[in-house]
Amino acid sequence: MSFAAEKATPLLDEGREAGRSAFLPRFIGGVAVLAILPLAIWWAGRSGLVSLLTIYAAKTNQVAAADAALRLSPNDPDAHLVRGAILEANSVSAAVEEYKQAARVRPEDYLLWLSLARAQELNGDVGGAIAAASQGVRLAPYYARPHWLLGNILVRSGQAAEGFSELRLAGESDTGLLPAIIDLEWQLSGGDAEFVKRAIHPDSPESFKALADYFRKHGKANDAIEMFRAAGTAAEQERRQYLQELISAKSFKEAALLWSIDHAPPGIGQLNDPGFERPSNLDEPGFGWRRDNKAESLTLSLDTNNPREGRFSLRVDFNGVSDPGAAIISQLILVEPRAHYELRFAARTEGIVSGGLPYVVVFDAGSNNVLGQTSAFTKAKTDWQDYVIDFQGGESTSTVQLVLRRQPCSSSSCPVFGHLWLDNVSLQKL
Amino acid sequence: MLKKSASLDGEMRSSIYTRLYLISAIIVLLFVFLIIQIQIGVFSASRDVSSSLEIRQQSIMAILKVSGNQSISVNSTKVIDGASILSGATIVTPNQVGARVVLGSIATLDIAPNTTVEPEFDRNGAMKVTLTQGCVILRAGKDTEGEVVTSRGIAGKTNSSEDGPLEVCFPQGAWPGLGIEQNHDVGLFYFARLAAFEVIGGRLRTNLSVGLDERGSNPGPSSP
Repeated sequence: MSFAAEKATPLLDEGREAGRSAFLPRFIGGVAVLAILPLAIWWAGRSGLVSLLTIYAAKTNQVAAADAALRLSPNDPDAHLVRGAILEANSVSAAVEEYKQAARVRPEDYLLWLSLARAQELNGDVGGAIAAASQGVRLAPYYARPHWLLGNILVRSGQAAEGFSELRLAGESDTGLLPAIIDLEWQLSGGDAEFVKRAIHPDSPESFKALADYFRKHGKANDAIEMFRAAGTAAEQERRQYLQELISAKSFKEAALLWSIDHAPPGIGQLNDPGFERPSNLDEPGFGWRRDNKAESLTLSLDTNNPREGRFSLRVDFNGVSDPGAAIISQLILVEPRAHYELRFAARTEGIVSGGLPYVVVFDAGSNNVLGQTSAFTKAKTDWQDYVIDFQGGESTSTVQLVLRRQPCSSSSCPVFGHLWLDNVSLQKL
Repeated sequence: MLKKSASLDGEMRSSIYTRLYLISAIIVLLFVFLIIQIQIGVFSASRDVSSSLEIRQQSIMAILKVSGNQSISVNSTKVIDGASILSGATIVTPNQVGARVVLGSIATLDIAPNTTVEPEFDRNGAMKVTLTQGCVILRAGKDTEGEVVTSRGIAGKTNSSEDGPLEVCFPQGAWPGLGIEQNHDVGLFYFARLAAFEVIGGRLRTNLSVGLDERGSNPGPSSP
């Protein structure tokens, strides 16, 4: 106890001394804060006012506001930028000086360099524009815009190879720019697809697709198909759309080329799945079996019961109204022009009742001229019967279309009921 | 014998040295030939690469100016500010977006929103603008013949002596207020001002963390 009392007094004295000695730094600190605070307030207020004046100048096109901002803060890059933008209307050279000031103050800002590059090109200083845009590229090498601007300036200045190289980098960074880049190269090369391919140097599905789409729109089917092939699985949907376009345009040779990317190539005089032995997508355009008649009253299926050959036959169930003119099922077949062919198939029917009975017809797919057809299938129940259609195309016949459809009805409503089977279709050149 | 042997030795030595010299010379020649071949190959290869991308005909090109990050359509493709415009290009501006085509000192064409136009120009200082729809202002430089044509014929020609702008709307209608300005001195300003405003606006947005801005850190190659 006594020990504690003896020691307690000096300890309290020491605490007072320490408190007194700590007061001074606190006081000085407080004074410093009070002195710095107005400075900070002034600095913040000035920055705010400069920003306000700069934005006001940009909004109202008043150079006086930009001047006022620069009087408050002579090294404010935004104020220089806005002043340059305002001056650009009457004096591009004055604008260039302002942009240079802005870029000098904030040299790490690639957008300021790009603004300078634009103005310098407008001012006729192409070398300066290239240098400024190059600086923008160095600062933001993975952004599209610096490469885009530099590439365009280079191309305009006659340095096409260097410009296209920069534009390619822009396209790699932003694939949305690829069509514009391709179009520029297309226009400059006078529509030379090989030139465009070399310039773009595609190496991604996006770039292949962009080129394919451009060539497609400009009627370069073979180049488009080459690019669609290179694009791989990423372009399946686009290939299907293009295939439909080519078939609608009756460009069957090109359509066959495109079809062969995803399927076995269609041979001359060869049917695809002639015995209906495998399931297929009847909505897919091309050289397989295809159903155009979408009526719900029509049902198509592969039937294992009593096929003529193989494991299946095609079964068609008619259950009501459908458009007699639309193909129930059809297939495009490549043929030799002027060649004589014999189409054979087997069919059987059961209980078909209709004013428009089904039959098979062969068209010239290019001209839509009928080359040959069967008579209407019988209404009564039959066993398998063989049918033959002899036909010969003309000079321009490269593709025929085999179609199962119905005869026209005398009345507007044309229902049909019953069942029909087809099997063992073959085509032979005579 | 000794003499003979020494002489023989000397002859053999000289013969060996001669052969060595010959072999060395052949090797050096082969190296020189190889280097020349490689240089020729590299030179011709580089020449092929550069010449393969040379455009067939030097074309006169205009500069497209579009405000901010907006885009317009040129020859049915989307383009942005800074694009190169060739004579005969079909330019379509969408709603709310104007554009400017600058052909050096020859001419400047301001294009209003919702406008379809086809400028044709050449090195001789002639600019013909076919206006399908919308509004344009054509400013031709000195010694430049500028005209605006619509489906109804020539809508106007620039007066180079006065250097005045030619303003045409087709079909006739109210002048659009957004994207193009009738004041003769502010057309260019409009685009530059918008661009500058966007730069500053972008910074403010970044500072306030309100939204994403293009001028952020430079992305990596995998995430442009």
